[in-house]
Amino acid sequence: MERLDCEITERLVHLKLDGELRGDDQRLLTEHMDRCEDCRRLHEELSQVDGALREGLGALEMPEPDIDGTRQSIQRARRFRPSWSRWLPAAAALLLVVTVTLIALPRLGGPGSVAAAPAMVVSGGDAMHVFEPDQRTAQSRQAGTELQEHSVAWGLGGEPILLEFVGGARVGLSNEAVVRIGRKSIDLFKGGLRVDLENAGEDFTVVTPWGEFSGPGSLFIVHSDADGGSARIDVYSGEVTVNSRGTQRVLAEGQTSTLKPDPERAITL
Amino acid sequence: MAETDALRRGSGQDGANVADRHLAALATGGDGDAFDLLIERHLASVQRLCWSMLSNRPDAEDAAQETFVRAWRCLGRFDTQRAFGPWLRGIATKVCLQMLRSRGRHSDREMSLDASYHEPAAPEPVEASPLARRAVEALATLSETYRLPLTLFYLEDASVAEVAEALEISQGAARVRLHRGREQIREILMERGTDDGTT
Repeated sequence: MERLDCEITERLVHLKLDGELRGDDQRLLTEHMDRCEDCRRLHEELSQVDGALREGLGALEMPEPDIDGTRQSIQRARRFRPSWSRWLPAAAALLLVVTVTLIALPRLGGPGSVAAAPAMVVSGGDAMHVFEPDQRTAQSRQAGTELQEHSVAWGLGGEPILLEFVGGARVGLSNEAVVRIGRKSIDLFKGGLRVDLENAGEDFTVVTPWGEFSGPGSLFIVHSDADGGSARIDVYSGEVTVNSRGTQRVLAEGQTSTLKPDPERAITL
Repeated sequence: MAETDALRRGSGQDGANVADRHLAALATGGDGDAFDLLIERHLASVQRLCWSMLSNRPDAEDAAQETFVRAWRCLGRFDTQRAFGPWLRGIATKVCLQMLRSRGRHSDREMSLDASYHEPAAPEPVEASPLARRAVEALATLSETYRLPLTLFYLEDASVAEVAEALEISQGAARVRLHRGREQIREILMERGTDDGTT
């Protein structure tokens, strides 16, 4: 029979209280305590400490939490703008306007070119996303701003914002999201989106480098990791059709899928 | 708002986690009402954790508010597959650690400022057994090295790995601190038990 000295037993008692004692060690501990009065008493005392701490900390009397004060702190944080935020959006806007203009030039005036009609309205939120080519910065005080089809939104930090498309789709942008607006679609380049199609009156598609998603009446979130090596979709209600890497499948409410980049869906700004 | 009203209802831990994730998803989309509900649901537990870690009520209230401000700012990075409460309390732990480190840098000044301060040093358990009350009193006397891991382990029901992650130390170090802290409390309780004739 394996024998344990008391020093090792003390360690095993702590591991047991940590919830980390494995089967063989449990057996050895039990066998040793059957023979050793001192270790049996140590086990009992430490178990009492364990139970007393759990009971005592669970019964702490706390003052009424200051919910209103916390809300006010968040309101103040929303209003705060660091100094760099005054010039960084403009700098990013300048960079983007050059990029987008170069990309858009071949399309202008040609057959099938898209009219620059309003495609959506910023309906809420508080953010520093810069929308091109109109150089609009989406912020709470600009709720109601109309954005043009093919606008590119470049997240610069700040709080999430909510966009409402003319067809009724509502899309929340994570603070780092980079997207391009379509009339019935949105292209996600990086970051995350919350897509609410529960009240959408027409089809709406989310196009990403990892796949394409659609689901009338659904609510889902798409989020890419920092390096774009994968993305995840979480379906909160309804059903979402996922087209990725040559296959199509349907995700139901509560289901999740992690996707790798789809070479056929590489999209660029 | 109808959706957030529905989410206010929810029963059981699983239901609470699902409701939290929905609320966080709504808040990520810019829904302030949803975030207000998350504050209602979690402020008490965050404040309790902060008070246990900081042993100072005004600091704990500041830390709890700072926790929610930071959570709001980085909601976009919240993994909706994970439970919201532990994520939030992870932020609270970091806020408290920063406050404790700041205290360490300014300890001389704070000691003079605190000379007339009479707030209770730490929250006290009510409706608990005498042994449980003495254990919490003993915990409050330990150094941060041992008090913080024990607080996270027992108050937050955290695993050793979660304690290590929260305190930014190795799992081995977390385990050693838990063991030594538990042993110190045992010794304190034994001494006091001998003093007052109880065990």
